[in-house]
Amino acid sequence: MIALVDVKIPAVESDTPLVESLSVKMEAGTWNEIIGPAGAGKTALFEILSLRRTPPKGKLVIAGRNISRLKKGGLAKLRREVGSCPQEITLLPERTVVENTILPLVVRGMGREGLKTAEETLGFLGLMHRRDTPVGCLSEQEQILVGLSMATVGSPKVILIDGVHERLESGSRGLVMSWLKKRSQKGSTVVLLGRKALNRRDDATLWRLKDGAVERTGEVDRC
Amino acid sequence: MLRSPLSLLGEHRWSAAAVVLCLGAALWILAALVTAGLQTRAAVEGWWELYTPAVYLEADVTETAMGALKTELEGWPQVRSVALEDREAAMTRLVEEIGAEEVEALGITTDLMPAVLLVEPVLWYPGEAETLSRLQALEVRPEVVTVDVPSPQAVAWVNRGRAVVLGPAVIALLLWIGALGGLAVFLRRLQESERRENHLLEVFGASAMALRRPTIWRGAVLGFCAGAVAGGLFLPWSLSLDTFVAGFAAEGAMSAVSSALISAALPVIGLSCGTLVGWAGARPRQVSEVPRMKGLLGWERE
Repeated sequence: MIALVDVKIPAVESDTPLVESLSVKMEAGTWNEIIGPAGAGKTALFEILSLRRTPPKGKLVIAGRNISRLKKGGLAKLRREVGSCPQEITLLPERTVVENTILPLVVRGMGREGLKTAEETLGFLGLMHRRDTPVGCLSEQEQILVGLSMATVGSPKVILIDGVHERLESGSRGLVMSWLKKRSQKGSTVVLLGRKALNRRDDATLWRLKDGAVERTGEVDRC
Repeated sequence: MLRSPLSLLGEHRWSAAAVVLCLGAALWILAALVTAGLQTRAAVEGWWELYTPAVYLEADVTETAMGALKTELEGWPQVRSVALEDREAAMTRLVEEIGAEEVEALGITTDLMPAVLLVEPVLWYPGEAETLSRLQALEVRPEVVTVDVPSPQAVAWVNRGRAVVLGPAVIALLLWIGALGGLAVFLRRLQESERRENHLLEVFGASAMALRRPTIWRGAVLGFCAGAVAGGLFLPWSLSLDTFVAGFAAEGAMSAVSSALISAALPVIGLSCGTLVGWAGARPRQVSEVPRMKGLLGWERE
């Protein structure tokens, strides 16, 4: 579950906030899409939700924990429940695909079963044939898939994707969407941030960021 | 970490070897100079005891006056202790030194023997010369016959001994601190080469301690290796020095067991210092900051 109460999202280079007060609640196991034009504050919101930065104002609760009350150790523990894939994907280019994918599981202390889980993820996303290839040798599309596999491996409670799904080719995008759907059905809260809504699920929730305000629409736009 | 923290040391093996050798040499120099200084100090103290200042008292001085003077001397900050050697003790010592027959032939009786206050100054106290002149000044008192103090040359030797002990030890300590600084820089370089991995590990929930652990490990291993190098250099050096020192100052000689113990302690000292440097140097350094949003990650991407 994710809850933001009266969260202010500041602009990077001006005093005018992108969103003055954002209050949303996303239940566990739900599919959520936050859309808006460039500069609407999606990436800033992603950085807040993925616990990379803290907002100047407001309350954020993730997986039942209020982050303003957490110390460094508590934040680190909470990050283990969050899988995130930013727009600028950070990978270890000299390490293989499977090494990159297993990294979040290593942090969570998973040993051999972690390898099996990582291979399952790679298999579903069509990367198994590239298992032992250094990530630096992959195409951009494949690198995005590795970033997404890192965000989703091991079914974290929250999965956050910041726009990279929109850069995927249609075939890969279909694979990723069905993989994310499986994660959602397993109980992960999926949050996609992008310019356009993608999902056609009836139970998906769409949040639209525009002109410094957020608006919830129960039905996702068709695109 | 996906790989052992030591694998990165293997990738930079030549730099790591240079760091170990420099650190080991600095630790050996420090240990050698400190132990040599302590040996010199022991030798100087041994010589100094031969020159213990003595205050000879008049034969008719009362025990009360002797006690008062003893108490007064004990109150001086430069004086460690004062021993009263009364006439009987002085007679016993004289008999031991020249024999009872000789004493009898000279017609020396206990009444003629002077009582003596043996003054032990605090060694290494600043201003021995001043202490000695203060003691010398006691001669003007009616109850004092004479005061026997070491010659100015002896005091000068003590001062030289102090310089021998302190000077090089301070230089060696600075050298060791400098070498530890070099270790810290090397560890930081290795850590910065893993910034991307640390960033990812932190994003996915690695604790601060987990991110610090590889650098602490590397510091401990390099420190231990440097200590082992220093121990290997120290033992033969110490044994050969002892043979030399024992030739002219038995007080300064160190036993082979002590040398072996110090050699064994050096790897532990290296391990402790390396661990400490690794722990202190393993803090993250933020490279970017978004205005108006406080960063929660220590290992930002560059």
